[in-house]
Amino acid sequence: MTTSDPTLDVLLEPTEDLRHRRYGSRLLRGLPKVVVGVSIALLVVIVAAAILAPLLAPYNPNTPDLLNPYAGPGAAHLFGQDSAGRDILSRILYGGRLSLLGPTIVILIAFAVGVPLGFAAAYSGGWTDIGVSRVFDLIFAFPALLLAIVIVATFGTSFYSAVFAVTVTYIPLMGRVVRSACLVERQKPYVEACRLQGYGSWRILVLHVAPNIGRILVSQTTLYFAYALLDLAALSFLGLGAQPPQIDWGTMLENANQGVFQSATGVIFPALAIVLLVVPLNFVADWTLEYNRAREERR
Amino acid sequence: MLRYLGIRLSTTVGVLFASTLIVFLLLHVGPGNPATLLNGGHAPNAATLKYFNARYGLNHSLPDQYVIWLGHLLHGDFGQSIAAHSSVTSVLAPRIGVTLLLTGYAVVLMSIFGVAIGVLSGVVRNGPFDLAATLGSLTFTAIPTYVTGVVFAVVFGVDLAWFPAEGGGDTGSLFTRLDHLTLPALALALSSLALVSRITRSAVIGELESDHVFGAKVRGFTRRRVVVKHALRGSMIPVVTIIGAQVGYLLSGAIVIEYAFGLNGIGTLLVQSVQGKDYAVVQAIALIVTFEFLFISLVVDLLYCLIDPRVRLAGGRT
Repeated sequence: MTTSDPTLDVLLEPTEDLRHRRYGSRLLRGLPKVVVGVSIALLVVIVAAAILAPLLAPYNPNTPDLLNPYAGPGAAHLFGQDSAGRDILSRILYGGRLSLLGPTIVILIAFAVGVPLGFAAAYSGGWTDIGVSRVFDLIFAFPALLLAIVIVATFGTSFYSAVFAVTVTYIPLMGRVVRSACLVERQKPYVEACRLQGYGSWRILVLHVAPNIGRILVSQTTLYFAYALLDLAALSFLGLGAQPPQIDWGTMLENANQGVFQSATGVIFPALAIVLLVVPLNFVADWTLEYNRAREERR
Repeated sequence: MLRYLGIRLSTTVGVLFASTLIVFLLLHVGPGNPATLLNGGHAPNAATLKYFNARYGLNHSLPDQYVIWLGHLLHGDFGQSIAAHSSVTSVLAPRIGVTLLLTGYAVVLMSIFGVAIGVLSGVVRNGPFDLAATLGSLTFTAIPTYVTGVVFAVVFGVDLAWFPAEGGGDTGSLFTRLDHLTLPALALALSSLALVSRITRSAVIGELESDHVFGAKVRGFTRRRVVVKHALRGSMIPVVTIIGAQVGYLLSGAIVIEYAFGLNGIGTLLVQSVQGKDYAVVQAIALIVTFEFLFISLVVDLLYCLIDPRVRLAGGRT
């Protein structure tokens, strides 16, 4: 927190991006390998469960059973039934599909747009840099969730407009990381060495700078994936994301919250699904960062 | 200092101005014609359309509409709410208190408990308290506010019934209102509180290892004096930074928490207005929250100057 450019602070402490703040994963320094292993295993299981949902789900996730609303967990329905008597286990499995698809789209687009913008800003400097940075600053002037809600208001409530809205707030995050990382890399001796050898700036950028930044990007992208998942779940929770009959964990949580006085157990499973996905993602992001640091120090 | 203040103020005003433009444009370029919307989703006939356009000033060009809208805005006129059939100001007025009270309550909880826990764990580093605080904050930083909120409502509101789980938080004496807002405020503050305590802890530890604190110890000051007068003061910059950033986060987090607990604040109203396409209300709330957000960042930046005089010499952070 000592440089005068806050974007550099962000780079120096990538997991502690103050604006997008929810986790203090810095305290996990020296994370035991077991935790990382368990995290990765958990992520693989969750992703596989979501993909294989049609094979695994014991019921159709949208088939109501109006005679048994809010039934508790039992042999026939392992996680119980929701307000319309739908099987919660099946809904969690199917809900994982949109819950994972959303942040995947967000990150892919934010990456495809933000990374070139960040490179351009750092490498061209001058007016390009000022222009791109000001636009980013303007987006940062809004609380991210609020901006997303206003964008959803513009384009109507649907899964894809929620994804679009969240993407808009992630492009500058991605671009800023790349820009700061580039600015730091540019000052390193190897870039100068390349320049002295007469390499063009694009060649230096693509063949030399990009691989070095790539490592930072991996951990940052993992973290942003987790954030994007939470932001999308928040929008769904507010009824501004996925619309029935689409299912995701945010809408499930909202639905369970409406019926919280009838059944408290309904709340637990979507909440747990979100937490069990996001916490391991944080661990993995932290681990990749730690790994890069160690690598950097060895050189 | 004055020069810095001037620069900082003018950028804030500039950004605020730009944000009005963005909010205005966003809600005007989107699909859907306001007249159709007002007519219950059916395209109105020519006469009705003419009436609507004249009534709501839609017959002007887009830039003119913006200037007119901004002019009204500067006079505190946010326009008409379609859903409530009254002015946006009269819709917002009774609700904004709940939101401010909730956010303020959460900020107080976050700052007091976050800093206290952080300082304590920093001072007794690696002791049982520190370990418990570390595990606790590890858990809570990773859980989003709406999950905490929903779970809190179940555990403390329904099962244990320590606090009311539902209710507007907008009626009764201040005590009743605070009682209603305790669970939501706690749920809202918890993940930020955990983060603040972590940052405070590492800042305090950093300061305790610094030369000037060593010097104070050597001079024979009591432990309390060393911690309170020397270590704490030096560790305030990162703490203020994180608290400022978290206040901004609490402002938007309050939207979700209000909705989760069914509070009658502007957050719940925002969500309802988006669903009901009541654009004037959406615009007003978006601008109010953005204004609060910008104001907080301004205050934090000015606090840096007070805490750390070096910031002034460096020409300020932007």
